[in-house]
Amino acid sequence: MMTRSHAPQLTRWVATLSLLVLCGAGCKEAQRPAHLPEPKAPSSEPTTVYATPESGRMRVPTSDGKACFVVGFEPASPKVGELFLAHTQVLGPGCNGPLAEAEFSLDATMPDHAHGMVTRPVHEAAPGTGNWTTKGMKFHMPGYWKVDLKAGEHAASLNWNQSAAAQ
Amino acid sequence: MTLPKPSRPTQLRPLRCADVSVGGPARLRAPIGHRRPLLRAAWRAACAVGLACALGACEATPAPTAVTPEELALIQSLSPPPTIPASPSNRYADNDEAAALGHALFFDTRLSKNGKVACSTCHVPALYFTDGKPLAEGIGKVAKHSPSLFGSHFAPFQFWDGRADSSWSQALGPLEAPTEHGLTRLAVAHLMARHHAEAYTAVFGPLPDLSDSERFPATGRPHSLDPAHPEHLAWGSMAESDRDAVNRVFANTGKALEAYTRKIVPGPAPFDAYVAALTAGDATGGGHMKPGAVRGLRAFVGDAQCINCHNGPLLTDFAFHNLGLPGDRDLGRSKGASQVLKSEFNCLGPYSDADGKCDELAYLDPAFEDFRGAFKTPSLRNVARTAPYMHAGQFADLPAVIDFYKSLPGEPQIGHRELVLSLLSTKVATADLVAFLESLTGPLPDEKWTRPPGPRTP
Repeated sequence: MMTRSHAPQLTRWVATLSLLVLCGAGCKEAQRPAHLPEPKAPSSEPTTVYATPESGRMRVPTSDGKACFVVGFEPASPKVGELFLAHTQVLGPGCNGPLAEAEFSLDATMPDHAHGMVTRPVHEAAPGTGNWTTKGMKFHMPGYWKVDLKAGEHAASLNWNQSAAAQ
Repeated sequence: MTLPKPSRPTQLRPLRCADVSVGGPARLRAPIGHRRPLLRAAWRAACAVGLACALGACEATPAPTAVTPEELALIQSLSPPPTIPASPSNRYADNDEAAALGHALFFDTRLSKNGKVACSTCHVPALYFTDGKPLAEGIGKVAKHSPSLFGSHFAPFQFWDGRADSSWSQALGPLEAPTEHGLTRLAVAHLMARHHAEAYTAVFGPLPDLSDSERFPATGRPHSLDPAHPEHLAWGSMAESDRDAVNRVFANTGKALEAYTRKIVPGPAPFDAYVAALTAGDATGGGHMKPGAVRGLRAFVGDAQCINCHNGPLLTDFAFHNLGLPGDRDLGRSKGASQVLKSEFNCLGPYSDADGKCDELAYLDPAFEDFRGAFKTPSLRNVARTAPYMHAGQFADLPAVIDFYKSLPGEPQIGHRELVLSLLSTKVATADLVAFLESLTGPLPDEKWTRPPGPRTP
C-alpha cells in the first residue's frame, strides 16, 4: 500500500541544510508550560520535552546526551482529527551532525485515555541524513499526547497538548 | 500523568429571574393602605413579572459575553460551517447532471424490492433528512437510527461504524441491505436501465446491454458469509467482466446520489451569527443567542467538556467512541474498520476515482484498541431537529441525552467506556445546554432540493 520513497540527492541536501539553518536560527527546546508536571528524566528513561504549537521545531535531547531529535509537524498546529506529517531529524551528541540510524519509530499515545492513535503511521527516510518523515499521524482527540521517538538505541519523548481550538 | 483542568474563566453572573423576587424590592413594601393607585398598579405589574420569572417564563438581561481569550478561541473554532470538501473518489461529485439524476433516485421508490422505499423514506427532508424514529424502517426494521445527511460529506468514514469511506459508497449499502431497500446490485443495474437510462447515459456514458438474462440475471450479489445464497450463486455464475460492468453501474448510482446529497449542507445558524458578532468585537454577540444559550455554550466549551468530542465547525470529531450505552452489544467501529478496508467500493478500489490518494484509508488502524463498541460522533448542527438520538435511537430527546451524561448508568456490554468520559456535573443546567443546541439549527436547503423532482420517468 505504502512505498518508501527516496528523495533525490539535491532535495535531500536542501532539506538538510534548511533544517540546520532553521535550528540555528529558531530551533529551541520548548519551555514547560506551568500547568504541566515536572518531567522525570532518570538516566534510564527517555527525556521528556513539553511542546506547544508555538514551539515550532522542537529539540528533544536524550537523557544520556548521545543524541537528540528535532521534530516539527506539518502543519505546525495539527487539527484535531486530521492527518498530518511529522518531520524528524536525528542528531548526534550536542545536537550536532546527523545520526543516520537504520531504525526509527515515532508513536503517540494519550496516557489519560490509555490509547494511542487510530492510525498506523509510516516512516520514510532520506538515507544517510538522519531525516525521517512520518506520514499518517492523527491526533483524533484534544488533550495531552505523548510522542515517543526512537532511533536505534536512542529514545526520547515529547508532550503535546492538542487544543480543540486548532481547527 | 494527568493534565490539570484549564483554569476556569471568570464567570460574570448574569441577572437572573431569581434576582427579581416575587416580593419585589424592599423599598416597595410600604403599607398597602399608603399606596397610591399608580404605585399599586406598578406593584401588581412587578409581582406579575416576578411570578412569571419564577416560573421560568421570562428571560433575564443578556448574559455576559465577555469571554476569556481561551474561551473565545474555542468558541470560534466551532463556527462558521465550512464549505463542502472535495470528493476525490467521485469525479462526478459536483456534476449538475449527476446531481439531477441523484435527486430523482433519492425520491424514487422503485429502487426497492417492494416498490415502497426510497432514500427519502428514512431521510425525510422536512426532518433535516432524518425520520424521527428510533430505528430506521425500510423493507423491515433496521438495527440503526437514521442519521442526518447534513454534514455527512465532511466525514472521512460513513455509517455509524464507518464501514464506508465516501458518501457514494455509503449510498450503496442501504440499496443492498435486506431490511432497507432490499435490492441487489444486479437489480439496481436493471432498474437504472429501465427507468433512468437517458439521464445515466448523459452523465456516465452508455449502460451495458443487460438484456441477456443468461448473462445478467434479474438479481444477484455477493454474500461472502452465505455462499449458498441464491443471489450469491447467481452472481457467481456471471463472467467477471459482466460482474465488473454491473459493479460500475452500481457505483455510478451511488456517485449520482452523492452528487445530489452534496446539496444538503449545513447553513448558518443563530450560533454562527453570535460568533461572528463576538469576533467583530460585539461583546453581546449581537443578541443572536439568549442568555441561557450563552450559558450553555460556555458550559459546552468549559466544564461540561462536550467540546472534547464535539469539536470543529460541525461540532464533531468524526471519531468513534464507546459511550457504554445501555444494552448495546454491537461491535461498532472495530467491525466497520475491517469492512471498509475490504470493500471493493472503497477509495482504493477499482471504482474509485481517487488515483490511490486515499490517506485516511491507507493509514487506518483497524486494530485500534478502543474501536470495540465505538460509534461515530454525530454532528450537532441542526441536532434539535433530529430526535431521537444515538446510533440506535436510545434517547427520545435532548434532555434525555444530557441526563445520560449526568448519570452514565451501567457498564458497556462490549469494550469499555471512553476513559475520560466523566460524569457531567449536575451544576450544568440541562436547559442551558439544550438552549445552546437549539441555537445550532440552520435552514433547510433550497426547496428545489428538498422536494421530489418533477414527474418521474416511466
